[in-house]
Amino acid sequence: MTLARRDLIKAQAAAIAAAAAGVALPATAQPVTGGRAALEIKWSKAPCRFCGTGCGVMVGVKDDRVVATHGDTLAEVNRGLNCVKGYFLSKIMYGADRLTTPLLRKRDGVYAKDGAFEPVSWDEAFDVMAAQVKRILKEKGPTGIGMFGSGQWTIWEGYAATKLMRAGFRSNNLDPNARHCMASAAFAFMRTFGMDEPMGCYDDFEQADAFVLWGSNMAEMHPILWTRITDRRLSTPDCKVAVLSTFTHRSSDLADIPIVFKPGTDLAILNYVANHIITTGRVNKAFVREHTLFLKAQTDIGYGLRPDDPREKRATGAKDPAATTPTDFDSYAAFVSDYTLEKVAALSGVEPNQLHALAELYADPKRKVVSLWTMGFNQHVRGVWANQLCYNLHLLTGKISEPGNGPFSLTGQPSACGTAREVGTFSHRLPADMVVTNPAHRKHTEELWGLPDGFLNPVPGYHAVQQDRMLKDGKLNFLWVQVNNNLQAAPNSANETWRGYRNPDNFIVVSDAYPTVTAKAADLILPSAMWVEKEGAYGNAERRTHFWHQLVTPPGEARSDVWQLVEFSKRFTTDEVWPAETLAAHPRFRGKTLYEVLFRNGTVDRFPLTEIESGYACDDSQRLGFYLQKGLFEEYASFGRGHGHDLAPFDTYHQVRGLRWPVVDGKETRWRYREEFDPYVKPGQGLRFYGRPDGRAVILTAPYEPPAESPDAEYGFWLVTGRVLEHWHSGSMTMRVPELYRAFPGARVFMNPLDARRLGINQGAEVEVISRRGLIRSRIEIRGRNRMPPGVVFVPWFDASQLINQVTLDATDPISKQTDFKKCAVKIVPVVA
Amino acid sequence: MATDPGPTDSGAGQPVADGPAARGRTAAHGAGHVASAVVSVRPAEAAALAARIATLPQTEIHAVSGSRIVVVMEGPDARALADRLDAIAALPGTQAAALVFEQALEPMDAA
Repeated sequence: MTLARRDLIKAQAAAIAAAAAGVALPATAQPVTGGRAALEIKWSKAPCRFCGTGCGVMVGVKDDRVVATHGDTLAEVNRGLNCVKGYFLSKIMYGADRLTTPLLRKRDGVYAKDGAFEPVSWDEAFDVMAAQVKRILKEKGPTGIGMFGSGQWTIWEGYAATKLMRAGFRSNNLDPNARHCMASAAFAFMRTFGMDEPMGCYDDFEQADAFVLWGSNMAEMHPILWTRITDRRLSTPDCKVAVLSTFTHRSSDLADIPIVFKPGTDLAILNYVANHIITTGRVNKAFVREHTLFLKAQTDIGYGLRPDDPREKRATGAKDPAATTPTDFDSYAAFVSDYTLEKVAALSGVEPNQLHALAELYADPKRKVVSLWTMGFNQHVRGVWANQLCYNLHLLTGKISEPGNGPFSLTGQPSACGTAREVGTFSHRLPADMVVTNPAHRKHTEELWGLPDGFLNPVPGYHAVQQDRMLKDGKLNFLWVQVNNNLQAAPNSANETWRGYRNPDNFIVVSDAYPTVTAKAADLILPSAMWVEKEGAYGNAERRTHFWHQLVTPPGEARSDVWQLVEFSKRFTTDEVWPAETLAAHPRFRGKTLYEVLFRNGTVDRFPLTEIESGYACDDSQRLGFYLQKGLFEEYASFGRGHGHDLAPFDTYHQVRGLRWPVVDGKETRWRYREEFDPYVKPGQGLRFYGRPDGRAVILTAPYEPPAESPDAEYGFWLVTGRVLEHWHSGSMTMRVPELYRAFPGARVFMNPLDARRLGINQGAEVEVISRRGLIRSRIEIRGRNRMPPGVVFVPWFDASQLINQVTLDATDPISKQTDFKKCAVKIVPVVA
Repeated sequence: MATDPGPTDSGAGQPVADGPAARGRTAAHGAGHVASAVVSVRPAEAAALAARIATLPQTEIHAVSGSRIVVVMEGPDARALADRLDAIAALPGTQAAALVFEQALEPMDAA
C-alpha cells in the first residue's frame, strides 16, 4: 500500500507537469481515478509570495499544515509551472527559527536600548511602543516618526499602514523598500504617461517578434516568464532576443544579440537607437504627431548624495532635477544625432554591428518588439531617464499599447505594483496615483477617509535612503519596519542604516517572521504571520490583482501585519496625537481612538463575519469582529473606481485567478490606451494616453551622464550587485552554521579570469572587496554562471553573512530617489593566509 | 540572542527572512519529497538532453515532446530536489527548467 501511495504521488506529479507542458503522457503513467482525493489534501489557490511575476499556485493543506504545492494550471501567468522559489513555498513557513512571540530589549525588567531581547506579551510590546511614539510626537511632531514597508505587504496591509501614518499620525514618513526596486520605473511612468504601470501585459510574450532585455536577467529572476519567452523564441523562426547587460549571464544563452556594455552607457545606446530610427526614416510620423509631445530634461542633476558631498555642490541642475522644458521633434532629432554608431560603440565598448542589429529590431516597422527591464534600468543614477529613453523608442515607432508591442517594466516583489505603488505607500503618494503635494488629491482623500478639511500633511516624507540618514542624524526617532530586511538591503549600511538603528535616541520596531539582521538590530521585534497564514491580496507586474484565503494557523503568537497596524491604532486618541486647533474646529473627533476614526469608521467595518467564505478561517477578522480585509479593500477600491484604476468587487477575486485593472463591467483590460482594448478610450479616439490631460505621451530629451563613482587608479573595478539563484541555494545551510559558513562562504565575487590572473588570484581564493565606504571578505569565482568582462566584478547581496551593502555607495537617482546598486568603484585585494 | 549584534558579526548563524535561506533548516517533517518539472529545450536537442537527465539519481523522464521534457524527481529533502533542478538547469542545452508539483511525503508514503 505504501509503495502504491508513493507511486500514486509520482504519477500525479507527472500528470500535472504534463498538463502544464501541454504534453500527452503514455497511458501507463496516468494517475488512478480519484487519486487526488485519496491523498486527503485540501487544495486552495494562492499567488506565489516571492517575485513580481505573480504565478498562481495550488496549496495543499493537511492537518493545518501546508504539505504540497503545484503550479496552478488555471493561472494564466504560469499555466501550471513554478520556479525553484515557488517550489519552496510550502517550506517558507516552517523554518526552525520562526519568531513566535514579541521580543523587547530589556535590562532590569524594563525596556533598555542596550538591553538583551526578552519575550514579552503583545500588550507590553504595544505599551512600550505607543509610549515611545507619544513621546516623540510631543517632542518632534509627525516628522519624528516613520514606517518602512515593502511590496510584500498585502494590499490591505499597505492600505492600513498608509492610513494609520497619514490619517492617524499626519506623517508622510512612510516608504516601501520598493523605493530600492522600482521607484525609477514608477516616476518614469508618471512623467511619460501620467499614470503608473505598464500599458501591456504578459500576453505580449506570445505575440512579439523580438524581446530586448535592458538590464534584466530574467532567466534567473523571472524564470516562468523566461520560459514563456523561450517558448516563443524556439517556436518562431524569425523571433529575436537581445540581452543587454554589464556582464554575461544565464539569459544571454538564449540571446541572438548578446550585448555587454560599460556600466551607465545604456543611456547612450538608447539615444543611438533613437538616432538610427530617425536617420533611417523609420519614425512613425502620424503616431508622433498625434500622440506625443517633446520635453527636454534638466541636466547635470547630481547623484542624490548628502548635500555636502562635492558631487552635489558641483551639480548645476541638482536643485530641481525633475524639471523639464518644452522642445520639438527637430530639436530632439538634432540632439540625438550626436549619438552616432561610432561614438556610442567606443563609449559603450559594444561592437558596432551588434548595436546596429539591436537598433534594427526597433526600427523595422514589421517587427513587434517588447522591451523588458528590472534593476539594470531602475537602480541607476539616471534610472528615470533610462526608463524614459526606452519609452522614446516605442513612441517614435508607435510600437506600444497593442498585442506584441510595448515597453514592459518588470517588478521584483509580489505586490510592488499592487501595494507599494497602487495603494500609494511612497512618501509622496496617496492611493490611485494621487500625491500629497496636490491640494485636490488631498481633498479627495480627506473626503473618502472622512477627515477634516485640510488635515493631511502636504509635505512629502523621508524616502528610504533619507530615512536612514535622518535616523542617523537624530531627526527621525521612531521607525516601524514591516516585511523587509532593510539593514541588508540598504546602501552604505554600516555608515548610515546601522548607525541610525542603533542611535540611542531612536526606537526601532521590526515585524518579521524570522530573526533577520534587521530584526536583530531593532529594539522591539514583533512576530508576523506570513503568506497563507493570513488572508491576502497582491498585485503583480501586469496590473493583475489576486487574492488568497488564510489556509493554516500561524505559529505561537505570530500575527498578521494588518492586525498589528489596526491593533496598535487602539492605543492612541485624537486628543493625544492630533493638533488642538483641528479638534477645536471639528469637536466630533474629540476623545476618539485612531482605531475608531480609521477602522471603526462605518466603512472598513461594514462587512460582517458571515461574509467570510465558508470553509476558510480569517483570524484577524475573528479577533476584531468584522470582515477587516473586505472592508479595507472596498474602501481602498473606492479611490480608483471611475478613475482608470477600477477594481472588481472583493468576492470576485476569491473566485478568479486574478484580474488586470481597470476592471470595467466585469471585464479586465489587457492593453491600456487603445480603444479596441481599453474602455477608458472613448469611441473614435483610437489611441489616447489619457493619464495626461492632453492625451499625449512624452518623448524626453536627455543625455548620457556618467555614474556617481567610476573606477580610478586606486579603486580599479566596477562593482555590480544583484542576485543569483544558485547562491540562495549554497547560502542556506552555511548562513546558519558558523563552521560551515567560514569554510564555504555563500556569496562569491564573480571576476574575469584575466583580471584574476593579473592579480595572482586563484579560483576560490579569499579576497577583500574594498570601497571608500567599507569592505567585506569573500571568495573569487571565475567559472560561475555569471561571466564578467575585464574590469567588472559582481557580488550578490542576498547573503546575510557578507553584507556587500557596507561597500556600496548611497547614490540615488535624484528624481526617483532610488539607489544605484549597480555602479561604484572597488579594489580587490587578496587575503594573505 | 546577543545584544547589539553589529552588521559585521551578524552573518554567521543568522537566517534571512524569506524562504530560500530557510530551506536548510526546515523543521523535520515527513520522509522525503516528490517533485515534477518541465524542461524547455531546442527540439533537436530534446532526446539527447532527456537521456542525460535520466542518468541523474532518482530522476525519471515521463515524457519528451517537441521542446518539452517532463521530469519526476524524488529525494530525501527539499534541498536535494532544488539542487537537482539546478543541475538540470545547468546542463548544456537546457533553456529553462520549471517545477510544477512538489509534495512532502509522510512517513507512510516513503516506503
